Parts: sequence; structure tokens; C-alpha cells
Amino acid sequence: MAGAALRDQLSALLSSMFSQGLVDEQFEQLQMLQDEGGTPGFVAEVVTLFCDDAERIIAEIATLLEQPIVSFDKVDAFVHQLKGSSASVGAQKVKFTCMQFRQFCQEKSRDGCLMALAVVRNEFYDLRNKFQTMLQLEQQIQAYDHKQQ
Amino acid sequence: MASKELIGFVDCAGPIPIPSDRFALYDLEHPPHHRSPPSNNQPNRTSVTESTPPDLLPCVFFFFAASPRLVRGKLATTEKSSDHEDFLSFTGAQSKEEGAYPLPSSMAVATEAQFHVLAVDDSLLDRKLIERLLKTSSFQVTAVDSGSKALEFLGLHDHEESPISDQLDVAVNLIITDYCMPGMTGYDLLKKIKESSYLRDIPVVIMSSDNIPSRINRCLEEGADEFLLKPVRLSDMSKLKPHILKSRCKEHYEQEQHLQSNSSSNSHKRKAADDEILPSPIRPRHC
Repeated sequence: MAGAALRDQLSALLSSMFSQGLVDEQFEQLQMLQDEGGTPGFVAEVVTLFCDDAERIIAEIATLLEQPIVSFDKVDAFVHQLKGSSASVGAQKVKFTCMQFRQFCQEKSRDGCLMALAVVRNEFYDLRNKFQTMLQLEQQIQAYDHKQQ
Repeated sequence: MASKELIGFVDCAGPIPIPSDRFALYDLEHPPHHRSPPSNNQPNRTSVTESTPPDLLPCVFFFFAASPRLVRGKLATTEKSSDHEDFLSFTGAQSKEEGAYPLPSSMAVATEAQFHVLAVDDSLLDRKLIERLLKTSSFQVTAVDSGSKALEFLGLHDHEESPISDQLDVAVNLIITDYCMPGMTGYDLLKKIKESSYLRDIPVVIMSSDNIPSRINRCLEEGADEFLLKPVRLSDMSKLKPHILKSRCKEHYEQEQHLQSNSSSNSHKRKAADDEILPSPIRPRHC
């Protein structure tokens, strides 16, 4: 695929992620830090760290919610962690779902937490897919540019 | 007409003028070979550092090797900035000429481009982020994942008031720490730092994702210099340097007070064998 077409695709993807509220200004900060610092892999690194973190936390929460007696403090601690990571990377929608999740933790509602977990999971998977597409497009663009030289 | 001021600077032979807008990290492991007194007062340097940042006060701050935060000047960083190399080659060149400005091995002056920040955060993602923010803002960074590792890096271990060795191996100009960490929280770390006579002058900045006024107040009351809400942004980095400069100014005055009160004798309590005694007081221009 030609370089310009790839770039258009990437641009459109990022645009839609912003307009749908999947990512916010913090993500823009990361892009800016990458460009300004001359550190090309920075966004990819941070995004990957976030995805690994989120996956691990979601699994931990799921396990905790399966216990006969749920430790809502532990669940809340994990949700708090995920909220922090999503804020750091600019994952706005995931961050908001975490905030809602914490409400159910306060109420000590297992059903509420299970529902909130499902929402967080869905939002996270959606975002992760888009991040993966973004990274693939960037790699393809780099490969294409490299070939042109 | 440059707004530089010449400030008295001392070694065992006599005053060494250094232009006030010059800072340079002096590599104490590679002191100049010669120690001849300067022949005149005119600085003959072209460029040691990059252009002076506009917000830098027209002061030179001096450290004595007795300062526990700054002994031996060995930095625990893997990269040297080009400023540092420029200065090293500069001092190397100058030391061969008459009119050089030899600095005793105990003296060190730090560049604003060389400020070293110790970042503490248990989250790998946040560590990466703060590291990038700090490096983009021309700080040197060491990042650790816990309060206890931070204290270890600073030379303090549990149950101890003073560093393990007489002197620390690194200079840390500021500590920035997350509040919420397992084990030792950022607040606990802050307290330990302020309880240590060796570390208490290092400015401490706390970061937190939660905007809780009582938490913020508690930290500020305990001596934190700044409280930043996460996610930390690039614009927050400009808040750090003023704290570094302020603490160094304060330390400098304290040193001078100490010197003046002991001016009749050379009986300072020295913490290291290679320290040198400064016979004349330093006259700061402005702090």
C-alpha cells in the first residue's frame, strides 16, 4: 500500500479515536513527547505497557470477584491502579469506566462490580484493537519510508 | 553589555572569579592537573554551557564536598550530556594555561542542564513517563520503583540516620515521588528524607492521581515543595527548577554562616579526607 494511503489511514484512525473520546489530551502529550524528545518508540512502548498492565489487572479482578467472599478493598485497589494507568496513557473511556467501577466497590456490590468489569473489559479490548492497528500502520509506514530511501 | 557578575570564588591560593552565568558540573574524579593561581580577573572562556536560560538568577552556587548530598560528584547516570563533556574538555584546556581557574577537588558547581532528579514510582508505565518528561526538560534521571530503593540510592538504609559511607556517591538535586505506593508511601519517604540531616535539604515533589486536599496539605506541611496531580505534564516540569535553585541558595547561605562563625580556625568537622578548607568567605551576589 502506498505511503500516502497508509498515512491517511493512520490519520483517520487517530482522528476517530479522539473524536469518540477513546483517547484524550494526555495521549496527545505522549505523541508530542515522542516527537519533541526524538524518541520514536516512546508511544509504542507506553501503549504496550498499558495494555499489558490492563490485561493483568482485569484478570486479577475477575479472580477476586469469583471468590465466595469478595475483598472489595483489593478489587478497589486494582481498579484504582487501572484508572491511574489509563489516565497516564490518555485512555479516557477506560478511565471513566474505572471511576464508575469504584462506585460499585464502595457499595460492595458483587453484581455491580461484575457488570462494571464487563464494561471495562469491553472498552479496553476496543481501545487495544485500535492501538494495535495504530502501531501496525506506523510500522508499515516506517517500512515503506525505509524502502523508498 | 552582559549582565554577568563576577563573584569571588575561593581556593587555597586566592579568589577565582567565575562569571555568574556560568555553571558547570565539575567532575571530581578528573580534577585539573595544575593548581596555579589566576593571573588576572578576566574570564577567558568562550562557551562552557549553552546560553543562559532567562529564568536563571545571576548567582553562582557553590558546594563544599562536605555537603553530604554531593560528594565525589560521581553521577549514577549512563549518559553524559554534551554540556558536561564541553566543560571537561574546557577545564582540561584551561588547566594548561596560565590564568586558569583551578578548582580544588572539593569544589563543585552544577549546571542547570545537569540537575539530577531521582524519580520514585511503583508503576513502570508512570516511571517511563516521568523519565521522558524529565529528560525532555534536560534533567538527568534515575528512576526507582520503591521508597526503600530510593533511600538506598540516597545512601540511607533502614534504621539509620546517616549514610552508610561518609559520603554519597551521587548528587541528587530533587526527588519526585508518587504518593500511592505499596510498602513505603510517598509520604513515608518524604518523612524519612526530612528526618535525615543529610537529605532534608533536597527538595521533594509529590505526585498523586487523587486530588485530596487533606493529603496535599499533609504533604506540604511535612515539607514537600510541590504537589503535582497525575498525569504529570511537560508544563509541570518547569516548576521543578525553582525549588532546586531555592534549596541551593539556602544551603549556600547556611554554609557561609557556618564559615563566618568559624573563620578564626580551620577546625571544621570534615567528613572526607579530600575536602579542602576555604579560607575566605564567599560573597554571593544575590539569592
